[in-house]
Amino acid sequence: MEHRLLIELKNCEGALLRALGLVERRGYRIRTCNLRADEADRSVLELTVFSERPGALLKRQLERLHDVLGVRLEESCEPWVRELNKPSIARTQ
Amino acid sequence: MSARPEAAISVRSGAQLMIDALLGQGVRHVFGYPGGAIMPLYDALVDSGLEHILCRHEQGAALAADAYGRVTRRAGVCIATSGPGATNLVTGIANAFMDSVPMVVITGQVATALQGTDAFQEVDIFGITLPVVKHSYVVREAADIPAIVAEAFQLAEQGRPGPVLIDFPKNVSTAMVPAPPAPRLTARQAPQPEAAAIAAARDMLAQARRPLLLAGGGVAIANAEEALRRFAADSRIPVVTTLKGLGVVPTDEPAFLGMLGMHGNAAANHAVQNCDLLMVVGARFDDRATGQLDHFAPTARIIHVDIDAAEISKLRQADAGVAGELAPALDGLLGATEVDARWRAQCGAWKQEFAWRYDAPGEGIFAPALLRDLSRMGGEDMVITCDVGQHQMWVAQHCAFSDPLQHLSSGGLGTMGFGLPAAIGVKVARPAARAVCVTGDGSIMMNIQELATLRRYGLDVKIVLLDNAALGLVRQWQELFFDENYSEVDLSDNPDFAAVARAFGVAARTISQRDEVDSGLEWLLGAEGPAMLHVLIDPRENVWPLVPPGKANHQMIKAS
Ligand SMILES: Cc1ncc(C[n+]2csc(CCOP(=O)(O)OP(=O)(O)O)c2C)c(N)n1
Ligand SMILES: [Mg+2]
Repeated sequence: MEHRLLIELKNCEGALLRALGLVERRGYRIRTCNLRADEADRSVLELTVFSERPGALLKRQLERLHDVLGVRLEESCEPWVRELNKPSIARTQ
Repeated sequence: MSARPEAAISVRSGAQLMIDALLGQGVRHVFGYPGGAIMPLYDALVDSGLEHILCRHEQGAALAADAYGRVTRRAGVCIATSGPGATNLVTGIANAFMDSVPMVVITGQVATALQGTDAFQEVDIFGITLPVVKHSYVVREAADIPAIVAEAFQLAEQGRPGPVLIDFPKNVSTAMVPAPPAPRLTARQAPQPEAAAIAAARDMLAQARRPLLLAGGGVAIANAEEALRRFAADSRIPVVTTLKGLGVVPTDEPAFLGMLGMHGNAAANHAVQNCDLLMVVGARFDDRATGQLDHFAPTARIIHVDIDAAEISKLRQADAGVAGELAPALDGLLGATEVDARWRAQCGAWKQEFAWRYDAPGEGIFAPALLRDLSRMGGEDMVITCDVGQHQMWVAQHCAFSDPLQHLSSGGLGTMGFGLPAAIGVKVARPAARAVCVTGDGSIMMNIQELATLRRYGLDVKIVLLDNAALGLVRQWQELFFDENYSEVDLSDNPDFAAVARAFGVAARTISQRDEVDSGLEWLLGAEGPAMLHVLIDPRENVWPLVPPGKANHQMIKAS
């Protein structure tokens, strides 16, 4: 089965490697891969992947990553989850 | 000279900021081993108020920090230098990852200008550990340290816990910067179970005729034992556990049927195979627990309760998935069912039929009976840390636990060498606990250098070394599934372990006969300071029962 995913990443060190590594290790073969880093603090990674495993499972596994801000799985027409319940830091002045 | 206004702002090195940040998190103990790239941190450590435990191998430090994290439910901290120091930590990091243990790992790194040049002792530990950390950082600016450390602890400890790595380049640790203000973390709300999911689970519970509760290690991690016990008492559902779930309900609880899985109790496996509803709480369908997945709990609908939504329906489709905090989920299910008396009677009958037997023939020491006795004599303060092998399975089968934190075992990774460093972590975290490491003659050699750590810190750890002169569990598999083609499992040329222990300053005794067990255990538990009871057992002994590889859990085989 082919799944298409849009993954919103924080622009922090290792975020891309972490996401791509997870996709492959969890048993999804990457067919196409496109990164758009046009915002200062976040990038969008667009993937099509192939696997016998369900896309929804990969989506949930990606959502666990701290530097993943949101994942949209195309087939499922789910809303774009922008704010997962992640801690974030604000430094006081 | 009049003081200039800036002088009021304190200037700290990156290393000092790291120590400040650790202290700010309430850290009291760190486990580690020094070396080149981490020297600035070791410099700042002196008289800092942090107590550093010098282990004798970085793997020992990481595994000790793992156990410290398990029993305190706060991140254990380990520290190593770059290169080989960092790579030596990897097994311990992976161990914590697989068992969802909170840990913060600090590794020295070569200076940023040298990174990527194959500098002396440079390895990409950030890259090496990506698959086995919950998150990781390379510190690029000293001013970021307070924020990174605060976030690292939060990530390590909250939700489903795990290890977080902080790679700390040398130039950043020596950089002098104005102390940045304390970071403000936005509080993270624990995910609450959804009402609709609870309602669906309640419906399924109400309809079930043969429900069964499967409790995993997640219950202890979430500190949800009480809620689980409340639910079990209220519903009267029979309970089985995974290896890591042992102790979530007391072993002597009548409704407890035992551990399921490959070396589980037959009663537990039969109950799983015959139930019509399996409610899985804080467990993840590991293959050692399920046997052949297609045939696992074949007649059951599944309720899966876990804090990690990604575990639900990962391996077995859940009919009701409840993602969120365990305790409120369990409380939300109170009163949903009252179990049929016939099903309880059937489970009780299995429990009786498959109760462990200790009447082994012969004069040699029967390890299961020895472990049962140890568990009786050790009492409620005892914490058993296990290594990996037959002895580990015997502990799981034959020791009784009234609390899951009484039993620390390397479940997910199955790390030989876990036991001794883990006992160190336990004893440092909880000096009043009676820490007993049950190990094998293969496993003890993986981290035997930590005997020196026991001696150095006077850690009162007791070791029961079950010596079958073999890599017993592997030997058993070769006997049963590889036509007795024994390959590299003989350890009959082991050193004299009692002499080795004494050389490290650890008292030791060797026993080999059944009538020496009582006095041997009494001596061990009464000995002052660290001590080892070296127990010679029959190399041909196997762990029974056993689900053969590729078989379903009801196809267990027994001793012939
Ligand atoms: C680090 C590591 N290497 C290899 C293994 C594979 N393994 C599992 S059990 C075992 C034998 C353990 O021998 P011992 O500690 O003597 O325990 P016994 O089974 O004899 O009780 C081995 C080699 C492992 N689990 N961990
Ligand atoms: Mg052995």
